[in-house]
Amino acid sequence: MKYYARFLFIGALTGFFCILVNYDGGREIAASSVILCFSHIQVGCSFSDAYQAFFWFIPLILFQIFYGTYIYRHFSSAGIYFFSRNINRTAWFLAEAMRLYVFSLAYSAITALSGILAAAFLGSVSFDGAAVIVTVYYLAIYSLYLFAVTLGINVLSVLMGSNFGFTGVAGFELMSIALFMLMGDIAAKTESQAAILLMLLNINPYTHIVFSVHSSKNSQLKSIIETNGWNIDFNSSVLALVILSLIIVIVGCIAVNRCNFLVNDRETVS
Amino acid sequence: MKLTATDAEIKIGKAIILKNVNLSMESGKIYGFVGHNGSGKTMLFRALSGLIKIHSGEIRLDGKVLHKDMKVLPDLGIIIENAGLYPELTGFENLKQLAKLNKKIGESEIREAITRVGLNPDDKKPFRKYSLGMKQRIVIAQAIMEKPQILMLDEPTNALDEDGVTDIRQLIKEEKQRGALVLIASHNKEDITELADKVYTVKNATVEERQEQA
Repeated sequence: MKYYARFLFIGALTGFFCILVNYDGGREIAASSVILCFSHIQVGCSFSDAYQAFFWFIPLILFQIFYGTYIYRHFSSAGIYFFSRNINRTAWFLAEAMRLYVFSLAYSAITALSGILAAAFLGSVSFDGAAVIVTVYYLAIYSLYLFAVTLGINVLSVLMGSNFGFTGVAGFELMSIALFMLMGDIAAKTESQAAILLMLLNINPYTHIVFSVHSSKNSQLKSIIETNGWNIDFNSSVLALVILSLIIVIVGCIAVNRCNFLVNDRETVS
Repeated sequence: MKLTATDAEIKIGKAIILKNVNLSMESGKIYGFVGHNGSGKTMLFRALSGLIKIHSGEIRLDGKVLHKDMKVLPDLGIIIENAGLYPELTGFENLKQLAKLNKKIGESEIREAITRVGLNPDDKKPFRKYSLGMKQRIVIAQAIMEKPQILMLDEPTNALDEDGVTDIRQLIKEEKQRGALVLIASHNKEDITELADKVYTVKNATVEERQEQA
């Protein structure tokens, strides 16, 4: 755990750097605004927002690089010595997945906290009422997203090798971002077309981390998030990511029960 | 304790790795398995231990059938060629994680096992920074630390220096004297001639007994 805990420090540096680069110092900024920066608030459904989308994706991609083979390495290197002791493989995998979720949550929190510290360093930060609810949704959604995609890399690595694990999931994320931006360029001519576009948006995992397309009945959230017409519900996003996570956990349980490394695996941390 | 295999067949996909495997092994003896690289020695150990399922036939331990009455062999210590431990933990931390699973031993037994293989239990180096010889020694330590009734050692003297080979051979003899059923797979003939009571040759997808050694 200690070895992987050090990557949280890099998350902190990344969060600090992201705000440092983007913030005009010397003025007061609300804490909720800092959290919204990390929540892709500047990203809309348009390719003109590609820079913003990829800039604010940096902390997420770093987490996937650091933790993308966390469980896979354990499975491929030491799995034999755990499984020869009659350990239930599903229980082993669930324990590892739970640790990965703890890292996801801690990383999300530390990234945002260091962003707030950067803003305080450059100017001053006021703690508004909306900060609490934005933070709750940010932590819930981003920890689940990080957990789901990173666990997905690990599970795909167990099934098909770590090269495919990374490229498969990274490719899927790139495609998701591109499809998200395409939505803004497609003008729905009929109600059914609009419904299809909304459905496509809802099934796209990237949509659920972009707060600019969300809306809420909560008055505090309404006051700080300008809805642009897509009205994705925050609670629905949390639910969608919980479901995605559960699916990947189930696939992972099946994978570790069925897979064995029958040839020498040389992928160790050097 | 008696471990037997009857007409066991091991396959990967459609490829037959080993067929018509018939073995009868008792505790307090060392059984050697020799064969070229790729002959199937490691796969045999994986199958006998229960880590993989055999395609047909039966493996029994004192009458209980593997994969019917038990998922893996109970009270087993095993090393498989090139398998390792968690890279980010020290040797001691790794063995502590493993010892927690069966809760048979405490820290003192872990330290004793690490010392027995010639390593320092207080070494703070993570496993990923170990030399090949150190890695081999620590995985042997994880195999013996719980004093198992069955020991399966796949290429136990790989990557060891001359003194290390001598030490590990002595350790294996001590395990036999303790009453363990010991299986060794090695392409090193000297390991087998010095240690094994009975030798099997793994060749052409079969396992055949050689004449018994004194």
